[in-house]
Amino acid sequence: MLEFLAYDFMQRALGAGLVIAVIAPMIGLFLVVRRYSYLADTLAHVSLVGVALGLIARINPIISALGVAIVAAWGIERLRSSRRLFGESVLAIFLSGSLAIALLLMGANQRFNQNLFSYLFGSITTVTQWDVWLIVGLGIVALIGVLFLYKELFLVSLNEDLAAAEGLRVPALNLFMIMLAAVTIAVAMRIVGVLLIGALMVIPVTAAMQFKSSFKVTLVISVLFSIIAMVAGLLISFYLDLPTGATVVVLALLELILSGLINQTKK
Amino acid sequence: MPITHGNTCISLHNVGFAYTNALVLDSVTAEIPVGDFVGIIGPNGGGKTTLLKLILGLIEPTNGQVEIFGHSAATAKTHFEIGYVPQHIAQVDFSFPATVYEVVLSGRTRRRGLFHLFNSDDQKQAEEMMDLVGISELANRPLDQLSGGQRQRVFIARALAGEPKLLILDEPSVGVDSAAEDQLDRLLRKLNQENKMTIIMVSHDVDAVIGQVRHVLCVSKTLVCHVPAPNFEKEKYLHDVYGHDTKVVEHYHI
Repeated sequence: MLEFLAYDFMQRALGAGLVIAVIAPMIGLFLVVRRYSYLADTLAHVSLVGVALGLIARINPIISALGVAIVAAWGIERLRSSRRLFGESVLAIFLSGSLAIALLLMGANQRFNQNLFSYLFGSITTVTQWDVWLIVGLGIVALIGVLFLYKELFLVSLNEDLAAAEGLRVPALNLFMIMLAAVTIAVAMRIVGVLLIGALMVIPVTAAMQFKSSFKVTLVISVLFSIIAMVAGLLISFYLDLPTGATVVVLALLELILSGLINQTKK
Repeated sequence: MPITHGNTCISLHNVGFAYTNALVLDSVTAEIPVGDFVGIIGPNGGGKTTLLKLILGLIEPTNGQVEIFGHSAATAKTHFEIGYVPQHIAQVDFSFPATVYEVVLSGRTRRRGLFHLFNSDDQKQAEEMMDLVGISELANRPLDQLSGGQRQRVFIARALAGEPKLLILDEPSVGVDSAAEDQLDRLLRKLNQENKMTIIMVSHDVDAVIGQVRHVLCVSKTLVCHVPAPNFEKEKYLHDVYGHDTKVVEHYHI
C-alpha cells in the first residue's frame, strides 16, 4: 500500500503537497469572506509571467513567479483602493492581460512549451528537492504571517470601518493579505498548477463554511478538507495515472457537495 | 488652541470639512462634557456621518480641531478611548462565518496589540460584556442566526469590550423592532447612568432620540442647535433645517 513512498518524487510531492494543503485554505478563507475569491485566480495567472521570465533567465521559476506576483498584488491593491477602476475589472484585466504576456514570452521561446504545460496543470514528477525546500520555507512564512496577524486580519475582514476606527492600518493589512495570497500561489503552482490554484484556495473554505461554525473552526475544517483532498488526490493520481492537480480539485469539489448536502439535511 | 478642561470629552473647535470642492460641514464649535448622552440629529446629507467620522478619526478636518479627552482625534490615544457601533444593517456582512463570541472578542484587538494573541483577560472581558448586554446565551451562535436587535447588542458588547470611555452609535434604531428598541434604550441609559459612559448617538429619527438623550446637537451643514433635550423645539428645528413650508406629519412606529 505504501509502495508509492519508495519513489523519491512521490515523497517530494507529498511533502510539498501537505504544506500547500495547509496554507491555501488559510489564506483562502480571508479572501472568500471578503468576496475576493477571484484574486487567487488572477494572481495565479500573473505568476505565469514570472514562470516565463524565470525559464528565460534560468532562475527557479518559483522565485520569479513570487516576485512578479508580489509586484502585481501591490498594483492590484493600489488600483482597487484608488477606486479609479472597478475592483472586478482590475482583476479581469490582470488575469487575461498577464496570460497574454506569458504566452508571448513563451511563444518567443518554443523550447519552453513542455515546461509551460507542467506549470499550467501542475506536475509532481518534475518537482525537485530544491523546490520542496523553497515551498516549505515560503509556507512557513505564510503560516507565521497569518498566525501573528490573525486577530487584525479577522477584524479588517469583518468590517474595514471598525478596524480603522480602532486605529488599525487598513491599507497596510489589505496589502499584507494579498501579498500572502501571492506567496501561497508561488508555493502551490508547482503541484496544483496555475489554472487550479484558485480552486484549492476557495473550494475547501466554501465546503467548511457549510457547517456554520466559528471562524476558527471553519479555518480548521477547511484545512482538514484540503489535506484530505491533497493526500487522496496524490495517491489516486499516482495509481490511476491521472493529472494530479485536477484530481485534487475534483476531490475537493466532492467534499463541497457532500458538505452542502449535510447542511441541507440539517435544516 | 482650544482650551479643554479635565471634564471635556469632545471638543469641536471651528470644525469644517470639504470633499474636493463640496463643503459638507462648516464652522462647528461645540463641547461635550464627560458623562453626557448626546443625540446628533439632522437631515440626510446634513453632515451627521461626516461629523461622526471626524470624531472617530477616520477623516481629518479641513479646518479647525477635533479633540477627544484633550488629544487630537485619530491618534493612537483617542482610538483607545472610543467604542464604535457601526450602522449594523448597512455596514456589516452577516454571512461572515463567525460566532457572537468571536466578534465581541475582536473588540480587544487594539488593546492586546500587534502580534499578540488574545489571552484570558481578553476572554474574561468579552464574557463580561456579553453578560452586560444580555447575550451570554448566544455566545456560540453564528452571526447569521441573529435577529436585528441581537446583532446590535453583539456590536455594542464588541465596542464595550475595548473598555472605552466614549461610546458612539450610528443610527442604532434602524432595522430593529420596537421591543428591541426599548431594550436598547434601557441598556444605553444604564451604561450612561451606572457605568458613567459618555454616549453619542447619531440618528435621523428625531422622535426616537429626544426622549432618551440629555443633549441634542443638530447639524445641517453647520451647527443648528446644541441644547438640553427638554429645551429642544421640534417645530423650530424643522423650520431651521428644512425651511418655511414644512408641515409636521405625525407618523407612528408600530
